[in-house]
Amino acid sequence: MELIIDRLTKHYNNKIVADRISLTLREGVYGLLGANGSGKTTLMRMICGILKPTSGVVKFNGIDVSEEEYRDSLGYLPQDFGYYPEFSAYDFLLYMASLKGLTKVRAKDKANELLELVGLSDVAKKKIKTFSGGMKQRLGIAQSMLNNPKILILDEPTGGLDPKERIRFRNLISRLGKDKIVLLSTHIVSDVEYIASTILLMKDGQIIHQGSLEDILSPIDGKVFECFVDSHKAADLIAAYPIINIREESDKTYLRLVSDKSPCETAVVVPAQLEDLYLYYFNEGENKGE
Amino acid sequence: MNSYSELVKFEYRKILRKRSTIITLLLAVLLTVFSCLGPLMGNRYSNGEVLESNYDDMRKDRQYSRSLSGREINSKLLAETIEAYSHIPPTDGKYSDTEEYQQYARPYSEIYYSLRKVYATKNLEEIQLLSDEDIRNFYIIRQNVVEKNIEDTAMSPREKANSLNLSRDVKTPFIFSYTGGYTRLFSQMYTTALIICFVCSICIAPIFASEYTDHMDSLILSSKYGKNKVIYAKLFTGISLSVLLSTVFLVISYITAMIFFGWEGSSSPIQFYFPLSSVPYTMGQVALLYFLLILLGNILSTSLTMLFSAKLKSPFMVIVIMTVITILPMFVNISDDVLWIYHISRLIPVNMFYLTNITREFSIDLFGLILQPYELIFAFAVAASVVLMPFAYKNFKNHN
Repeated sequence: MELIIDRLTKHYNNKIVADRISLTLREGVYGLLGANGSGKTTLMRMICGILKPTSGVVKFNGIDVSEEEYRDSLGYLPQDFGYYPEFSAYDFLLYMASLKGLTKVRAKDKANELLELVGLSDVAKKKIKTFSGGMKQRLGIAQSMLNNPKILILDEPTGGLDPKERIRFRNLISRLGKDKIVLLSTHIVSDVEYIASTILLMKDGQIIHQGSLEDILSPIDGKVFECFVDSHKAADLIAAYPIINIREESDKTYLRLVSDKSPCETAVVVPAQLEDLYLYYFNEGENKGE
Repeated sequence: MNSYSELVKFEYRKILRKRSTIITLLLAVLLTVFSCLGPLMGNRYSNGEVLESNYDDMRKDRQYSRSLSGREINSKLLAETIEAYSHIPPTDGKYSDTEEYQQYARPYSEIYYSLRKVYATKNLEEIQLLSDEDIRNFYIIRQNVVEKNIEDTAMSPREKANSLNLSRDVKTPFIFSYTGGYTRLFSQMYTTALIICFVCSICIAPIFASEYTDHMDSLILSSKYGKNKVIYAKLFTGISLSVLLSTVFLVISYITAMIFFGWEGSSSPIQFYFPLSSVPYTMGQVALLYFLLILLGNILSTSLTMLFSAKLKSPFMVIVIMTVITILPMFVNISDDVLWIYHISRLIPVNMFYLTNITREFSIDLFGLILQPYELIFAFAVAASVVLMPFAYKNFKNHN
């Protein structure tokens, strides 16, 4: 099972939103991290065949993205997940099942099973327009799994879920990754940190880093410092280094920052986390640099 | 096939579950019935006084006409009519308000209508001046007028020859029959056609566009059948719904007109409604052709609606554009002096709905093939719909 993305490029007029992206994805959970406008959604839409690339190819086991057989292997939860307000959750899943080519009997079974899985069984017959944001999101997750897809593309799937639902969903994705290619994008770094076997870091339409959590953290390993300083020193450090975290305490300021060498006498090296890396890369414009 | 029929079923559900659809349909049914029965509402007045209700007026006319039904329109009946109208004294007001009209002439009003058209009389006095020979030659004079009308058109000699041949196929003498149901139907059908056109636009405009506004397009287009079967299902749903709505509203019009005005007259010649029409059709045949004309006009209008729906991404914009396309041509009067422009103008959906596309004297020589205007409209509506649908298909499929 192999999803090959080869030199995938998308231009809008003169703007490049995806720039010669090449990836080979196999079974596992891939976490796509990037700031707003980095091209995550564009990449996912091209992988789903919704957006036509300017150039490049997407193939799953040799099947081109434009083919019906490819879409038959695909499950997708878009960022701006839509629904029919007058449909009940159950009807909506039956409709999506018919779009995915499930037989009527199979569709009913699968709809019931997934409603149970995402905790919407009690409200299966209620109109979607009465649902909260989290319930709609859970319904979206359910529809993406109707056809038991081999490729699961989830664009911001945990947005709108409360912490309990998020953890439940995270565990579910983790299990799915055993026999599927799961590509998920999120702003919630901890979600990726917990479940992604491979992390893809996207910036300005390019994949700038990819690998396991350890691999990806290596560029900042030993470069993350924590320190308590007075307000004057804090102002100097904020101006000079990429700041990960600031916390004002009674007489001192707590700072977590990235630096090649110790930024001050009181600074201590701490283990790097994905959030450090994320903020290091994506706060570049706001921080002054190392 | 199973999944396809499921998809069609869901498309119907999406349309029929919308509140706007239900409200539109209910209003349209009421409007159709109301427009059919409009002439029966209210009263007939004379000098500010109520003479009788319009419903009683219609019933009386119907009774008179029925009493003449089965009689051949010949010199005897024409002479009776002229004699009956001779009782009406000169009046400054409407002659139909006189007692003499009510007593003598009214039973012959339908025959008088044909007389007036054939002999081109302007008033009651001119009718009285008709000679016995004129009356005996009623059908010859009528045919001469019809042929002169054909000759006076801008048609080519081949077209004229075809229209003349058709006009000579009109079976005479005419056997009179009451045709109030059909004449009411014909005068009301244009309104019904417009209602159907608007209802179809409102119901079908969201078929593609609401997928964009509901943000369902990504889910659909990434699903197995999202780029093929579901689009076919949508196109089928649009066309079948248009056929269904057209049929339902035409049947409502037909039944309402027939129940209140009378069922008989289907085998009477259309010349009882248009005495100088050149086509050899009965009322029933014209009604059937008119149904078909409206049906195909609405299918074309629906195809346009679906194309805009796939292209424009907002149902509201689609409805606005379809309203403009429907209403605007109604205000443009195209003369038949330049016939090809006239015939092309009749290919716009709203202009297809005119009864005169069936009953007027025109023939069309289309690259050596002689057609009646309604035949050209039928062919165009089908061909244009077939041509438009792949564009709607591609627009949705390639939507980014």
